[in-house]
Amino acid sequence: MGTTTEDSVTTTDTGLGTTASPGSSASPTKGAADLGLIHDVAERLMGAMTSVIEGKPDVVRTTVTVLFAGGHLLIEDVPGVGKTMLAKTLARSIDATVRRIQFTPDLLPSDVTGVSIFNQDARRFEFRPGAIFANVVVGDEINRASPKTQSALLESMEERQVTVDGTTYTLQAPFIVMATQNPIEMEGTYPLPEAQRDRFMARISMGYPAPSAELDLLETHGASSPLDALTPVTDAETINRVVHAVSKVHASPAIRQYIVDLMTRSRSTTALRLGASPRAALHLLRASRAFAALEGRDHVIPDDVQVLAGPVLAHRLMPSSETQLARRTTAEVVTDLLRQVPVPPSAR
Amino acid sequence: MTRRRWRITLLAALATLSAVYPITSLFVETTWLPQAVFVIALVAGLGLVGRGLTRSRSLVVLLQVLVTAYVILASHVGETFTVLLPTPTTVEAANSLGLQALDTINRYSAPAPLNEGITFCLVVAVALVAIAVDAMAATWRSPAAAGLPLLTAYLITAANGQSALALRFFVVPVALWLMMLHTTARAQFGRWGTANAADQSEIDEAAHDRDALRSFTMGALKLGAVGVVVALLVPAVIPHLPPRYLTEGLGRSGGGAGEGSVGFNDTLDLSRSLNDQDQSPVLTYTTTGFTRPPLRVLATSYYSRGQWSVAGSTGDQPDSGTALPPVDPRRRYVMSVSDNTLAAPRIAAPYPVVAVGMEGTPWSIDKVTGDVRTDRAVSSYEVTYADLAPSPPELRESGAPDARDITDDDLTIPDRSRDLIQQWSDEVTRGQDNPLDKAIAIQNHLRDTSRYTYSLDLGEQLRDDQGRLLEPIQNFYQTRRGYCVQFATAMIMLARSQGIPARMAIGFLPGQLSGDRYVVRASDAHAWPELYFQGYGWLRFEPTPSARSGTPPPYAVLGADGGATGGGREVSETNTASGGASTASATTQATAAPVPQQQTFIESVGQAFTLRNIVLALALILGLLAAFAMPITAWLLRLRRRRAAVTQQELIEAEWDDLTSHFGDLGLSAPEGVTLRQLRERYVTGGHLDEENATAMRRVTATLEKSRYDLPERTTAQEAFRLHHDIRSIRRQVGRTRAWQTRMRSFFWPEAGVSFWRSLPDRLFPSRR
Repeated sequence: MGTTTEDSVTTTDTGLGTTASPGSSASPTKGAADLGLIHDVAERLMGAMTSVIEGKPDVVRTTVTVLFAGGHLLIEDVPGVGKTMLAKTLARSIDATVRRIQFTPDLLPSDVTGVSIFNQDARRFEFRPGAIFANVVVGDEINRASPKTQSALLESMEERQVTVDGTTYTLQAPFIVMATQNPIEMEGTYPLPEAQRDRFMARISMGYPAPSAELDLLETHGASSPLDALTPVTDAETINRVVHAVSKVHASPAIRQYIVDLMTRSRSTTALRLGASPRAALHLLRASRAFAALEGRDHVIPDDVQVLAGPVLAHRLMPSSETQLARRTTAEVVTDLLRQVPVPPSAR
Repeated sequence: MTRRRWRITLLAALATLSAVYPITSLFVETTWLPQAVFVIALVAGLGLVGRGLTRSRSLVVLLQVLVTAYVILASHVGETFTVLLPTPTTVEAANSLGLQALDTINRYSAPAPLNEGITFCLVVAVALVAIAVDAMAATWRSPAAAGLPLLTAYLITAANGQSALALRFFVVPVALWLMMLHTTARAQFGRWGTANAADQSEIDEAAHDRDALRSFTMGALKLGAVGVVVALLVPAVIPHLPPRYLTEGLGRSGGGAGEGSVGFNDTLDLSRSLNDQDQSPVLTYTTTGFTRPPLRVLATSYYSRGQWSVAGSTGDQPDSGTALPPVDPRRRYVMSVSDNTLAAPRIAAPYPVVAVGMEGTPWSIDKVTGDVRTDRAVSSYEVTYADLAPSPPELRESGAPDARDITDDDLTIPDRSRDLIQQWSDEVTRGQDNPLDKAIAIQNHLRDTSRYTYSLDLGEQLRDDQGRLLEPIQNFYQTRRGYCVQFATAMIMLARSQGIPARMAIGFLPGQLSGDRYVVRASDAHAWPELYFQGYGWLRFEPTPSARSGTPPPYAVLGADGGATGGGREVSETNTASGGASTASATTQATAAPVPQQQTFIESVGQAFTLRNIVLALALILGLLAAFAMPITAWLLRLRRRRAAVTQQELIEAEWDDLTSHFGDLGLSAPEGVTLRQLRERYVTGGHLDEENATAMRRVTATLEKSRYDLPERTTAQEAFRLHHDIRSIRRQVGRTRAWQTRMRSFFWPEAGVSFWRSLPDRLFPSRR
């Protein structure tokens, strides 16, 4: 069932190949992060999201962090806790093109990337863009698609461009893929290989809501979906500027050293079969920058790194057999790493 | 900065040199001066090199002390070194050099002969002054304090010199000292200015600072100049400050040169002040003797109404041998006098004169007083004199005087003062049972500068109840100040009241070396008592304290007040038993007289410097150092780090490490993977911080976070400053919450110091890792 539902909320500025390059967007203050803009956008976004996703401020915060850091988000949890709801909420809060791909085993790569079709009238091939051509792409149940389709998606995630029949099409900015997957239902799934998991900046799990939040949920969601009442609070152009502003957040040599130390330790520890990649380090730094900006700081501190190390690193690491036998998760290993690696500057 | 350092070092060295230079007037030769200059240069050079190498000030001083000590030891007692290293023998050799110097200083008045011991001690003293001045002025950059060692060096000369210290000896060091002050003050003030300007980056403030600097500098300069001018002017203007210290040295003025012959008053008025001092030379001489006794002109026993006067004695007995004890010919010396301007019939010569040669001019020796007289003035003559060297034990046994030479005058005491003198002398000589010990007790009593003050100005004469002027001796007893005449008279009267015949001798101090001849000046005029001992004749004593006085003769030297308790006798007796050995080792200089008492005294001082005591003292110091080794190490490391900190960040990190290490000592550890914020919570709860200090802690971590992770230029000096204060307050409070054992351990065994020593082997031998 190659169903590709299109959930285009708005259709403003969906011109193909138009890229609003981050560099061209005017930054208010040269050389320094525009904390006011970031704070403003973050407040509005999180306000809007919290009105739908209740009792999960941390999840909302991490989601916004990943958005601001220009990364992709993997939401992994049991069914029914609101994974898709989270993705859709974020998508709706932004005045941008949104597509949703429901991954199934028979989904083809061309469904994702697009396909060239011969136009009889014009007597030439025309490119029909796939679902990936949007600012926000919600990939549901990503582990249900075949590896071939998965890889088509994941390549475009990293390179932010799609090559079909020798022609390269650049994706729009901002571009965020929010994929959900179900860790329990193993039948008929193709778990993402490590190399592909590595492309997601962070993985979060929703977790069950607190009883009181669940009670509220029953009340509010009973009559109508709060998603319907949601209106966009920002637009793609603003997000571009925010992403650019976040990249200006200062990360001192000590912080970079700390991240490198963490990576090095993850590669040498016996608890892991595979340590973190350099891309993981890059992602961690970018995410930390965004988190610091959300906190209203224009510089990263080790606490930012520590908060994000779990979401950013856990899904990329492969536990060693001892760890598996001990029934420890990679998230726990990351916590151990954080406890072991000294926070710089501490070496005298 | 470097240039200033050069300048201040150079200034310190010059100031030291100019302050020690006057010492040249204390000794007959100046061969020690090149060594002193070398040592000063060495200290300055070491200081420069040391300050360039290390920031630890103590290390610099240590380097200076060690290297200078080594060089001095090597040059003076280098023969005791084994493989270029000092041995215990070196200490002994240095000790004996010191004893030699002590001996010389005890024996001679300025100018003293120079020997190796004196040179050694001088060089050591110069080195100490140089190191102290350099350390204070350059190393610690507080040249104000360097004034003290400079003043000390200057006072060595001023307090011991015989002649006037010229004005330049004071002005030059002071000028150099002021220049050091100026240089350093400018440098330091300039630093404040830039620091302030950088922090506040407000042009107004910076300009204000510069103005303040300028006005401050000018004000300081004016103040310093006024201070020196006042120091020079005030003593000159105020009439009643007796020795005009600054301008006249020890009360001797340089003015008032007299031409022609110098008359010698036959009377001495005890109530007259001696403010007018004449520097014109009386005679010059050379002598074959090693020690130089004072030159006597006349002696008199006749005292009346506060005046000594020469009785009309006529001793027309040429070539008479007088009543002298037989003298060993080996103790006869010849003095050749020339340029004599002393008016006839007086001749200055050491007592007792054996023979006089003056090319046909008739001369005579007074049978009673031993004065030499001539018929007319002679410009040059030769005198053969004996060195009386009776040994103290012999003198003690001399018995009661009953010679024909002694007249009633020799035992007369003025009626008005009789009771006072009797009481006074009984008190002074209590416990002494023979003439010599009594005489020595009296002499030492009068020489005690804590009781009596040497002053050329006698001040107002005191009056008694009826308004009459006091008899001069009573006056002296009351005011306790005077010069040689008062002291000599007091000794004579005190001795007479004890039954010892005594008389007044008047003459000159031995003078000072000028070229190869000694020059006696009018201002060298001196008076001293002579006491009669049966079988030995008239013997000289020296009760006048201060440098303006002669050297006590050997038989009259006894260890300070020790003689009064009778201890002196025992010591001297044991010493006589071993007399041969101690005399033989005594000196090449000790000439005629073996000096048992003096040896004893020196040895008793020397005993304090035995190897065992030195080792004990060293062990004590080392023990103390060891007990405080860890705190000192931690303190030094902290200091070094703080001083090495160039940026605010480094300073803040140093403070923070200091705090975490201290908290670690108090049991509040900082685990590896903990961020600042987590650590802060740990400290706030674990340290039981109150609200105020918890806020301070938050401020501290916020500042630290900013300094570590934000852009470097954002951290301001104010924040670093506040951090310092916050940390101190936090430390205090956390310290109070700990048990005293923990606090003691954290003081004596701080991890910061311990880890240094623990890691020392690794750092010394990196290959072992």
